[in-house]
Amino acid sequence: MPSVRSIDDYFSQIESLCYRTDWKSGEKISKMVSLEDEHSQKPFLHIEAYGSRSKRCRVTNDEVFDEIICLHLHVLYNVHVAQDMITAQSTQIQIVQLFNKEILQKRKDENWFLPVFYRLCTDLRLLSKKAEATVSADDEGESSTNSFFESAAKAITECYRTCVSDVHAEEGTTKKVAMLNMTNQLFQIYFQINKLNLLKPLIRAIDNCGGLYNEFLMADKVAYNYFLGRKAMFDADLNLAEKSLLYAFRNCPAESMSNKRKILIYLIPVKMFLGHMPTALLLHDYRLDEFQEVVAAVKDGNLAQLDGALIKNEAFFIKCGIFLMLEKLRMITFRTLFKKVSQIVGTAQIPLEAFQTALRFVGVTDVDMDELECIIANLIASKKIKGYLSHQHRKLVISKTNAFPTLSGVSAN
Amino acid sequence: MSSTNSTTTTATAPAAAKKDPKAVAAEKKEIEEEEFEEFPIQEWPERGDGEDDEVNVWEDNWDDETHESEFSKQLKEELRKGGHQIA
Repeated sequence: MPSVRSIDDYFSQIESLCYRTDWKSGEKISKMVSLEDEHSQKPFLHIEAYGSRSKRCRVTNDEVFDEIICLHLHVLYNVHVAQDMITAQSTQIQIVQLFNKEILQKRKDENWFLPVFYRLCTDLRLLSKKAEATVSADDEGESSTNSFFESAAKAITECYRTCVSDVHAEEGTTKKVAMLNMTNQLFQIYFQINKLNLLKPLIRAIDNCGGLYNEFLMADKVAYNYFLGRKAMFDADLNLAEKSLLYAFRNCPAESMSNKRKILIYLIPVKMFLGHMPTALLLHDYRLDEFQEVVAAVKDGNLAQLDGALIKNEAFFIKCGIFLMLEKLRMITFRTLFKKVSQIVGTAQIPLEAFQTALRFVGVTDVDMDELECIIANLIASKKIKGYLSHQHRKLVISKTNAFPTLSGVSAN
Repeated sequence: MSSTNSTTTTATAPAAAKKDPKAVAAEKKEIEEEEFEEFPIQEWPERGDGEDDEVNVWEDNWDDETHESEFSKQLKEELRKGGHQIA
């Protein structure tokens, strides 16, 4: 697409694309309404209320697109000139609502315009975030917290309903194919406002969508698996988390380095918990050196080092939302430390006092005998140790064979 | 002394306009960093299990100590000092 030279040029480029009504043109128009595209920087497109001018350019062959474009210019004006993110956000909602009412609901048996719609929703999300930021910076009051995300989610949900009910159109033209992209949009909003429970019916709908799944775009499938994996991690469903995140990592193109990195941030803790440790090279290649010491500590069974590494990189881990997950690694670190003690002692009956000595050695001083027994009991219950506790003799009695099964062989849950 | 132009801008624009451009840029960057970025292309061939680009990035056998680590040596010494039985 040649760069836009003037407002006439901008309208005429869109007009010629609207004639074609194919997916490719939809993709091109999506750039022309994007807030990230080069055109959005052109001052001659930053026009307030362009649609109400009597003398103006038009998309003559498509009134709805004409109105959308005018509103888009109004958004550009508010973003770049007035710097009024609140008006920009509400105008973008208007665009999405208009798109739903006049295009998604009325134009049967065609879906070439979906790329445009995806873009409008993405920009609505980003604008909501910016609007939220201006308000929260302004007043400390909690009164209207998340109202921009809420209104965006509402508008997108309405569109979602329109699309999933498009059951009459044929395979190639059904709007149902927009389901996954919209689920991803809502996933991102609900992550922001901590309402992941609202995704349940949407996830179930994707699970049950049958052959339609093959029609979804790879870009959406990779993103979906990334979000699904993150949610599964928070729900402590580690097997689903591993499966989804691995899919996302495997299928994310190597060029999208920063996305692969984001996937790894969640995949690494999940993998570690399941007993698979990332190599130092992997961490280094993806600029995730914050994990190096964590991995080393877990592998050694060195609790003090683990706690130290978590504290050192606390801000990073909290920002990513994985701090609590990483803290759970203490459990397998205990297991590895106890395994080492058992090997050194070399008998099937290990005095609990030996574990206490080891704990003191790694800087853990706040675990008394009761708590130690509790930790060991949990490790036995989760099949990480095969054996039993003799409370009376203050001993752990371990199985003669394979008392500490490899973690990757033990089921996660 | 202020030009008409700048007065109107301040009057109509809400707080965001007061922010200095550096802060706005930093904020923008942070938002972008957090977001899962959009892919430049939308479609490519799907890979099945085992068709990974990166193999051997996960270690499963880190646990079988073929050679004693420095940490293990120290632990052994500590247990010995503590009067525990050593194999």
